[in-house]
Amino acid sequence: MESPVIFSNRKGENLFGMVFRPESDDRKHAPGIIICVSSILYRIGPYRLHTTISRHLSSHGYWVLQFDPAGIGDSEGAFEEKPLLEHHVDIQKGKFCEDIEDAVDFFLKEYHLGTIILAGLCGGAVSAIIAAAKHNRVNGSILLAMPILFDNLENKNQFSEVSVISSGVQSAHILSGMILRLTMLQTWKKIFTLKIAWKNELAIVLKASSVLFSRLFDKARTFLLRTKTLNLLDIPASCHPRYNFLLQRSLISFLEKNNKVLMIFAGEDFVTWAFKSEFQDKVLRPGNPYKAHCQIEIIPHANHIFTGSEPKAAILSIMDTWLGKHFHAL
Amino acid sequence: MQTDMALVNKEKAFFFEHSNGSRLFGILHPAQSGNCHGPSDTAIIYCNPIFEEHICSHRISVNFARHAAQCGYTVFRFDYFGDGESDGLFEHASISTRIADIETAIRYLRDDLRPSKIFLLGLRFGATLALLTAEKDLSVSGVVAWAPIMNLSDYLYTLLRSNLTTQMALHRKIIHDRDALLAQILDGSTVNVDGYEMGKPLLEDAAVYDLALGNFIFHHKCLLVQICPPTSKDKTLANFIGTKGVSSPDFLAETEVRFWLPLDTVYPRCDGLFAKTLNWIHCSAQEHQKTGK
Repeated sequence: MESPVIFSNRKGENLFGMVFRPESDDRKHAPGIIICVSSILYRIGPYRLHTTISRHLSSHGYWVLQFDPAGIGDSEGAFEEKPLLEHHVDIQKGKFCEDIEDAVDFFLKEYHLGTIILAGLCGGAVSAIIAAAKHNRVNGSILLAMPILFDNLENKNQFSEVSVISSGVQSAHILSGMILRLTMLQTWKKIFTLKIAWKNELAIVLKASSVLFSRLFDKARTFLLRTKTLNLLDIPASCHPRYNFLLQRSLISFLEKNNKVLMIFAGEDFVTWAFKSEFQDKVLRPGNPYKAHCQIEIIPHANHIFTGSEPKAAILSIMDTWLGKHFHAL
Repeated sequence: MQTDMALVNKEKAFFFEHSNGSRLFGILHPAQSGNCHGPSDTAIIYCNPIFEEHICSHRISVNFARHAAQCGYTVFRFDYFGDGESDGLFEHASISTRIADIETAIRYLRDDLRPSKIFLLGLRFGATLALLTAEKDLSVSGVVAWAPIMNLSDYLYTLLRSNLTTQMALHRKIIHDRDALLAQILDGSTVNVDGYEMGKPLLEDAAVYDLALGNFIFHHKCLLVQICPPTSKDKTLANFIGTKGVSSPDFLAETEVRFWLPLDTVYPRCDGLFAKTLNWIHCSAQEHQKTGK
């Protein structure tokens, strides 16, 4: 059974939400789950995904709240008219976190719940973990397709070959290809007849070289992290220019309190591989101290928002198992 | 019947019951003693688009409802069966179920608030649904159709392209082309379109209810609004009115971004669209009052 609710955030703005009640009303120590909006889309989520998840979880005994932060959906508040990408970056820096913390307080107090789990997709996952790290009554987090890198604000209106060079392997491949081309007569013909886009080629060489060097630097950093010389709360695990260090700090501080995290990624999503190369391979290597608290799953043949009935069913099944293991509903 | 009321600035959110027993979710924006021209006994029912157009345009519908309420109109927004926070699954909803949902919303408003005039306002698919509902329900005072979809079959056929895009992204090739997808749907399976399962009821109804077939009659005062960005020269709606020989609805070409699509910049103000819509409703309501039609 669902009921619309209104609660105030710390600024006095009325926020609108929907509470999904489990059939069994034994709420003593029952966990509550709050689903955070993924970007500027309102609380039901893309293709109504949040509502589907909420109904599924409430039918399994969990209390669920989906709500609109200020300026979104049916909540009060203004939302600045500016490029969407800038909003995404604001969200990845914690724009919605205060409203989420207020939602946690409301849900705990109003429904007498034992603990809270924060969940979200994409930007919602980033918001969820940043807010979770700040609130001591949040003990679990379900993070779907969480981007470890900020959205790219550069060249947002046009495609640039340079902007997509991001991995060491890719850079090495580009540079070796260029060296190979220099051994070809045709290339020199193009050079002498000025049929080469010099600026573009130079930009590619510079970007690929800088990425390659930063990867080498990264390897040294990873080695130091493994030997525990560096503290993950103080030093970013990656030196990628768009790396979200706030997210790393939040995730690590949340895990260090022995809280539980479930991360679900999509097999056909750039976000998955960025997370793997920039965070997982550096921090969550075999034998890492968070192994017992952090579970990572990749759903094959799924896109960033898990459209399709099979990926959706897989998400629900993974969540059920994880919640049953760590937060058994009463 | 309504259950569990909530209140945000006099807005009331609740579930109301469809005659088939399912619960529909709605939000009522009561008319406020405003400084504009709206007669408080005129109610507007907002009909959502479907698919992601609903989600992308949600805040615009909220902004319109709040603005109209301030101007003295009662506005009722609701989710169709299988959509938003209403009961049901998307694949089980059709055009006829959605028309029945709008009729339920009209009944709810008429029974609970007894407004003297009810206008339907819809966006995209919702605009088409509003026109189709008004054709059946002669008690509706008028319809405003924001960028209505005139050819529903074409619209759904075009949407199947997103399934092909997803196939390419996931499998690097097209496994089922559009005709194969249509055949699947007509065989009773569903096809995923941007996360929504498109089923046989919707597709079959689209062929029956198509406005482009030319047998549609405008019984009511109607305002058809073409919404185009400044750079667009889209004349689809104007041409439709010119060529189909329909009884003359009012026509407005409004320069505005297509706010039902994912945009680079969020939440346009839509001041012009809101003002012109309310002005037309105001004039139509006055005319309705004078003539009784």
